[in-house]
Amino acid sequence: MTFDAIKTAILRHFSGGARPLRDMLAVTLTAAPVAVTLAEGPASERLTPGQIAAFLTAGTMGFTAAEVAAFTTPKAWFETQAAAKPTVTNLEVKDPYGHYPDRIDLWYRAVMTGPDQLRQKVNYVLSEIIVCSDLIQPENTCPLIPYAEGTLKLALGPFRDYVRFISKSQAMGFWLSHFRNAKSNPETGTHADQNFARELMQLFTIGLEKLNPDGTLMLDGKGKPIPLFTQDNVEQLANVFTGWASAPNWHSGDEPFQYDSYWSAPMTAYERFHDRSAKTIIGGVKIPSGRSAEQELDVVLDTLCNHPNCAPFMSKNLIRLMTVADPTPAYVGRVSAVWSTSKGNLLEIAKAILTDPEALDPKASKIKEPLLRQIAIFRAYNARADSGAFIDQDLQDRNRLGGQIAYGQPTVFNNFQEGRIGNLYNEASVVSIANRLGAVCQKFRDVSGNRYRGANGDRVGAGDDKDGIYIDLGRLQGLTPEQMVAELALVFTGDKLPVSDRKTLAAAAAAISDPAQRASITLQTIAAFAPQGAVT
Amino acid sequence: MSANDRRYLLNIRRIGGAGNMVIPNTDSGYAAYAKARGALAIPRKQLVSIPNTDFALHPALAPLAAFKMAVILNIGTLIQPVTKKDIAAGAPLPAQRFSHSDQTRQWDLATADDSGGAGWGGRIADYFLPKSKAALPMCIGVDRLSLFANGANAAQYVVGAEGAAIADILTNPRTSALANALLKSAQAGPEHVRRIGAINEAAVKFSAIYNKGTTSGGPVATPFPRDQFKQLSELGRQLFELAHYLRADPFIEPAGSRKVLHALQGGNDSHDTEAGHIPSLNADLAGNLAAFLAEMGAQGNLDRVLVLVTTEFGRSLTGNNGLAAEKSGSDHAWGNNILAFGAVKPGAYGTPAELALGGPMDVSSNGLLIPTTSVDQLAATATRWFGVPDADLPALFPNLKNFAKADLGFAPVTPAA
Repeated sequence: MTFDAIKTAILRHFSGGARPLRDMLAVTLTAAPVAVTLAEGPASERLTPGQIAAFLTAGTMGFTAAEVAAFTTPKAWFETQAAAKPTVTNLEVKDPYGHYPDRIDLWYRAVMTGPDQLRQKVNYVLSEIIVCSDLIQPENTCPLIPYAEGTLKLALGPFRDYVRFISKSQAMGFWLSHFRNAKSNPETGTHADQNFARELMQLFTIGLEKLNPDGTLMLDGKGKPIPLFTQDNVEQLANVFTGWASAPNWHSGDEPFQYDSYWSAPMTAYERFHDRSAKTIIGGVKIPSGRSAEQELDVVLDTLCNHPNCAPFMSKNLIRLMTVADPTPAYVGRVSAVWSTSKGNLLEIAKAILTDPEALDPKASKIKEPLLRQIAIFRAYNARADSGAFIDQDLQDRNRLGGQIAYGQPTVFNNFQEGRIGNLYNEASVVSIANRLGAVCQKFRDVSGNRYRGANGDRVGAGDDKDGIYIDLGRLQGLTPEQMVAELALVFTGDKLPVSDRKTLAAAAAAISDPAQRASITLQTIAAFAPQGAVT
Repeated sequence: MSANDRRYLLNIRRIGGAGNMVIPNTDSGYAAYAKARGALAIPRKQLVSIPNTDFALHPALAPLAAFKMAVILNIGTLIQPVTKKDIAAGAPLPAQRFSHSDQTRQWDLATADDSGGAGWGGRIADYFLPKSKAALPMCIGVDRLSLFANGANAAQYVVGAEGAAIADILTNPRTSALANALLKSAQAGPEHVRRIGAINEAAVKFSAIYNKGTTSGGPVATPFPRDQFKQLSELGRQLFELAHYLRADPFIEPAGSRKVLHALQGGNDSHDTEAGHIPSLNADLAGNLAAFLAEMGAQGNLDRVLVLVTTEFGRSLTGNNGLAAEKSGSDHAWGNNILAFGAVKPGAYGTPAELALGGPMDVSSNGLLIPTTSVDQLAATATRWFGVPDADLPALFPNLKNFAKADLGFAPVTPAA
């Protein structure tokens, strides 16, 4: 292919002749959507293996071919998932000089071993909307251990509880700097820190502009978007988040408002340092003077979580990250309605997102995130280190520099910024697939070096260290080339790799004589290089 | 066009609104600054004077004083010039001022009302695309995509900090049969799969070109700052690899090559502990940019590269934490002073802000300053230097007509060396 052909083939993002990729990735339903029946009965009557794989791609952090085979109905699956306990250690993180497990290894451990896959996926997606990063954290980022576990416990419950937790979390307090935020002081000319106050509204609950219930922009008489709040609203909300700091404990005694290291506990408000003056926040909601910080937080949570924007804003964000890059207003409207009737119950919302006809349409699509492609391979083929670790330092470094790391975003706007002119992630990350192709493949030790373990337990390729993560090729080596291609096509492309091409692929795989090399190269090319595997 | 007429535009974006780069350095200017910033003011005796200007650098930027430098004063997102009175009278203003992500987007587009449609670096690439004979896309970055470099038609190319990867997946005998069969399968697939297939193929092709070129160009000769583990910083990785690419450009691209490069430095959103964060971030910028500029000198490229050090907004002049000075920071504001290096005529450009709290240029009482120069003008100045004729600027920068000057004058349009 010539460069000229490439130039015309790719990346017409926002205007011009070709349809934006965003449109192509979106589903256009011409017929009226038909509700999915969640009745009992054999899965084969409703979902094909490819649909099950697509459903599990959206609803889990990764899955095996065996899990596709064992899948019965979405209803049964949701029941199992709702009953699964959160995978948490409940580790008390309180000693400033303590040695805690690596928080990223703990996260991978939960992802790899936890049966609570829906809960983990919803929490992962929420962590990309409500961003709390390790970029600014004390004590070797250990406050993120209770943060990740605390949010996981709430990830299938009421959204208001989730927002309350993150608002009071010390990790969030450090990240968005409302930990130990002092009230305005006219004498010294200082004001309350506005960082968290702004992002709580703009990114975490309601957005910037008024939305219709189906997520489309509401417009004023001149056709312009309608801003939700003013700078004054931000400044007054900032005054609510003053006086919060770590709870008193053995370390600080009763001395209030100290920097402390009891990272497991929520922040406590110290009224002496809290701005108790009257406030008018978004929508003209008045908070009278003399209220405690906790009382004010309740008013803020009620105001934001019951705001008419919250349901469509959050529904659309969740859909985009879970199932469809550019959902139709009808899809957003259906989820948004469930949000409203369930009062923001995240389990009910996840069900609505995953079982919507638009999500189950074989044409439904979004680009997969690099980190989730990595984890999909890890989960499908049991990646481990001999040392018992679930991630190694080298992979952590590569993930961070080349792509993504959970709770390690470079900014509060996540890895993929969305702009009003289009979704940079959806569109430009097509380039990202090209550009990150290197990074993604490197994550699996590119095509010339490997970190795979063959069926006999031997390491395949150059890697040889007990701390390194190795992917287990045992299962794949036991398959014929045809079976191997079929399994990889199911798990990594949602069965979208055309059956007519599989013979050629199986022959190419069969031509690699060493069985472990055959398995590793076939896995790498289909899981990481196949264009059909780059999208859900 | 001479074979040496290669020009490179590098936009270093300091993400998060980096304040404190340039500080007034006259008696009256510094006094106003010190009064407005209070505990956050940098002591005057620590400042590093910028020759032939009334301004000084933050002390941690001292390594940059060795290089030709232009200061662009009080620049920010504007649709048209406005005063406080105009604002009260309802003059058009950028949407969602003080929202971090919106101001980022407006800087990336160089149109405060989204009328540009794509990133301004990407628009330059779109402009050159129809006649381009380049082997690689015009916009190149390291590790991360950028909205700035996102064109409507032109691709942006991002390499890893250790260069491009898997250049041989389609040719290596162990992988080629499978990889080519997968691409062929994708070509018969739905349109989005076809496109991703084309992109994957392009990425492999670009990687091969990139790696061959950088091998011919040779390694970067100038040492870059490294930590105790001999690692480059995140910004250092990007500038190092871009310097590596610039050695290779003559081996990859024909005469008259034009590249739009970008690098990002995160962490500048100093809502808190400004005194703690900013010196180290400034030192990171200064050390790595000084190494990059020294390397450009060694390559003979110093006058072929125009380096803009941009950031999305200034900081509120007042601090936000009266309780603990060491924790104090400042919030999102609007106008800010920025820097340019390389092919610049040294000096200060534009109109300085009046730093009085609640004064004629403050839209609040906390020192949120109305910009006096627009991002559109900065972009147009760089685009003229890049070789786009005046007649074509209005189409690239639709709001430019609202401002008195299209060219701020810091990057003289003379034939490159």
